Amino acid sequence: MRLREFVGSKFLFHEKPADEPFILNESEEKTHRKFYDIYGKKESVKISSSLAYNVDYMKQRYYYENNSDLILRDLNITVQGKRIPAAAFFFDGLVNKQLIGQLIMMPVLKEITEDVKPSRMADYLMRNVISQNQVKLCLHFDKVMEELNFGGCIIFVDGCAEALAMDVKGWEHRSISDAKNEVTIKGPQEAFCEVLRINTALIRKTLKNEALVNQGFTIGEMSKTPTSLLYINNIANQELVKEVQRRLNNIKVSYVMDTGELEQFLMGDEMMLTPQVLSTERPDRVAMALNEGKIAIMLDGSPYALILPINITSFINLTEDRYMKYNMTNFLRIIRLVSLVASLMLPAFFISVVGFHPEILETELFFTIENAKAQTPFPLLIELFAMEFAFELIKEAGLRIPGPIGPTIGIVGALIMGQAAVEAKIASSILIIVVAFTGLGSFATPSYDYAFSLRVTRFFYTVAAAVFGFFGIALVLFVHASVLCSANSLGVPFITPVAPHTGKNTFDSFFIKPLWKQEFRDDSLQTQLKVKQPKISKVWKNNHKY
Amino acid sequence: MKRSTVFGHWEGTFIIVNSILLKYAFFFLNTFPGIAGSAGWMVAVYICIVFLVAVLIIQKLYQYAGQADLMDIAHATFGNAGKYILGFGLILCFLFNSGTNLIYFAESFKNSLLTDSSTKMMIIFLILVAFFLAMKGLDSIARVHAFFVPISLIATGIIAFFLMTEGSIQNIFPIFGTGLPNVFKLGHFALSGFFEFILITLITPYMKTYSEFSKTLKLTYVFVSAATLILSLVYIIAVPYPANTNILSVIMMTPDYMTFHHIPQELFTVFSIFYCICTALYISIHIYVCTLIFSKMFYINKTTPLTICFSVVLLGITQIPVDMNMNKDMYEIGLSFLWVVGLIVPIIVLACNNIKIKRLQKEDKHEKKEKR
Repeated sequence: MRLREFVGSKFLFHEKPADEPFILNESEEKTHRKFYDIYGKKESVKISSSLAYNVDYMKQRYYYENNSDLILRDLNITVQGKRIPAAAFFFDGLVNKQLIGQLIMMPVLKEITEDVKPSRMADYLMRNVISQNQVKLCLHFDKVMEELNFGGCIIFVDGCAEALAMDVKGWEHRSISDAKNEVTIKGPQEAFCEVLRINTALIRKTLKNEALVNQGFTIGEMSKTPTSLLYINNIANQELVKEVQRRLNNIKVSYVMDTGELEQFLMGDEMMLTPQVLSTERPDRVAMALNEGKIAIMLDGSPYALILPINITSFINLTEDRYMKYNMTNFLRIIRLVSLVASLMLPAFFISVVGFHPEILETELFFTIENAKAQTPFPLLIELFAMEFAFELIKEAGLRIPGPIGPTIGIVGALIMGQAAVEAKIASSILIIVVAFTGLGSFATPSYDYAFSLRVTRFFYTVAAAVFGFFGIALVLFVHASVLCSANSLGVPFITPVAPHTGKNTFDSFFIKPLWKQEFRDDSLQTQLKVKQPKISKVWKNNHKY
Repeated sequence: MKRSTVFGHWEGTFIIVNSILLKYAFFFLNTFPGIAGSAGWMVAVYICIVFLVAVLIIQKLYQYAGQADLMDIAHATFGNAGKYILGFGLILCFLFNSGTNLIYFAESFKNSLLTDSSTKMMIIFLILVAFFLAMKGLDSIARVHAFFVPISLIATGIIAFFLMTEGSIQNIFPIFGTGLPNVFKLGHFALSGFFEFILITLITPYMKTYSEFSKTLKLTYVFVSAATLILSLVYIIAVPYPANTNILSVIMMTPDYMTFHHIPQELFTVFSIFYCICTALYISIHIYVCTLIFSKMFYINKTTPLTICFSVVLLGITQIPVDMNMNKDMYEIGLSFLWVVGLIVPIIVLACNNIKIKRLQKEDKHEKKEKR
């Protein structure tokens, strides 16, 4: 390299060579095609008796050249010495290869000594050869593809206008673990996983009842996500069941990944902050709800089940409440109610009292608060919003941050919100206590969705309190109550059992009776069987025989 | 699932009880000593007896009316003319009553909660939130009543208990006050406090059965008469005559009278939140009922836009009094005739309806006999 070039390369500015820019060109299609134009009902294509046609069709539909996990296995079926070509399709990774090898391939590849016509071959194989327990005959390609996409093995036979579809699911999945988001001290610790069949099996093993119905649906035109609707046929109100079936059958969407998405498609009131469906990862909670006459919906790929209809007390009740004595449960419910009120209204009360009604406070407490407030430059509302925002940031960061760095957030949060903010006189120490109690109240609320809605609603209360004091709190509380009182969860009023007043003190009330006195199911659900247990459940008390 | 508006006796009771008893927390208790001095509790006994008679008569007469409301009964009995006269009369009375009362409520809240704010601003916000609930319908109104009214009743009971402990039994002497004849001559003014009782004849179709309606009547009477008797007696014991004729807000002045520990004494200010809510509930049911009456008069199906109109009209009525003295005069004019509308008019309408039904039944029997 010459000296001039060397010096130039070190001291002169050189523009970086431009990368080939990627520009997303506008689509040539000018009009937006409507949903039904894309996913509308297409005519089902019938399976041909020509193996070559069937294989070509499948290759075309599945983009076989680019699809590396779609396996095409050519084979010959020998019938009395004569070889009939056949082909098997399956997805590598979705199937249990051992099952395919032992129960399908091995029997099929053995010679058949009977005289079987090619047109009847699929039926013959199903009845006499293949020992896999779930085998179906398919006449149309859309059924074939449905089975293939969900862990099936398909066999086409030359000369036969039917295909065999065998259920050989065997993909890797997370095993049943304990509930991470609904932790309880007493009771079962199992939680759902992402496999629908495992989840429904967990319910079946808890409720060993022939009346438990597990009705299957498919939701999502692209994802074709299997969905299960569970209810106990002789308990659940049949009108309720029909309504849920109607809604599930009439969801037109491209894909559904999780029950959180399904919940938004199921419920009518989109503007309401409070959820109208309960989401749970615990099988025992679902089993309990089904026994009360409610309905559960589960989605393949989601470890959460939806329970509906619900009322407002569903968000403060836990399954653990049944596993402890009723007096302890009622005490815990009081604590949860107080935490709920605190998470919603504590900042608003603080602002009201300090700003508008200081006469409520003791003189010494008043001077303490005023002294703390006098040292900070911002108005109380701004301080509160800043600290609340910081708290929300820490919560969100704590969720997203990778595991090893996680504990750092706790230290950073404590340092920022605690010591540093107070010492820098950005916020007063009493305000930090208020924000901390509010946050604890939010975490003590059992339902994550409901706690989230309270986090948002709290800001309305805080602003109203800052403007109008107790009067503002009253106005917002009135509007909040109006919204809750006019809401329904699948036709059941949301603030049952307060209004309409239900006479039976069931599990889904604010406070519960002892278990042996809970004879009746919640009458707001209009269940078929209203009586849950006889008047005397502890029969042993009257019966002294062994 | 389709659900028609239906509620039980608790919701119905709390609607009527809140509408009648809310005034007691503010200014209405002044009326009793205003009529008979320290014998104001006798006025309460007198009006409770009259109220009991009216309730029993209405319960008896309603047996033949089925699940119809007063407007439908008036239409069936007097035809369209009766329906329009009754409808317009009721709307005017409801708006006038709620307007004058709302000014008192807002003034009380201003004096105790937001001393630097304008009364008109508070009135506007109260009407705004009440309109929001009135738009949602009677189902929601009933449920919100069932949620908050019991809390405010408990709060009133606690306040009454503490008020009584601070009072002196000497305040009820002289035992006949300003004179026993005043109790009977002027007692009807206090009876106007039960004007809102007519609401029960307008929400009858939404009760599940006649037995629910009957239970509502009885429970309403029990709550209202118990509260009237107890609160009037407590008030006269706690505050001596003639000071007890001028207090604007009985509830809000409670901390001034109590010598209890500081914290429970001042926590009563927190109860004001529930009284604000009950005030908004009071306005919402009045707006809704005016809408209901108007829609029945002119067969209007969609009533939501009407709530806007009546909210605006109510706001306009609250702007009529120039000052509190004018409002007091309007309020006293109301006291002189509202008891007639609230108690006598339903009895007259129901009695006429019963007479007509019995006459029709007799004619039917007569026709059947002639046919045989």
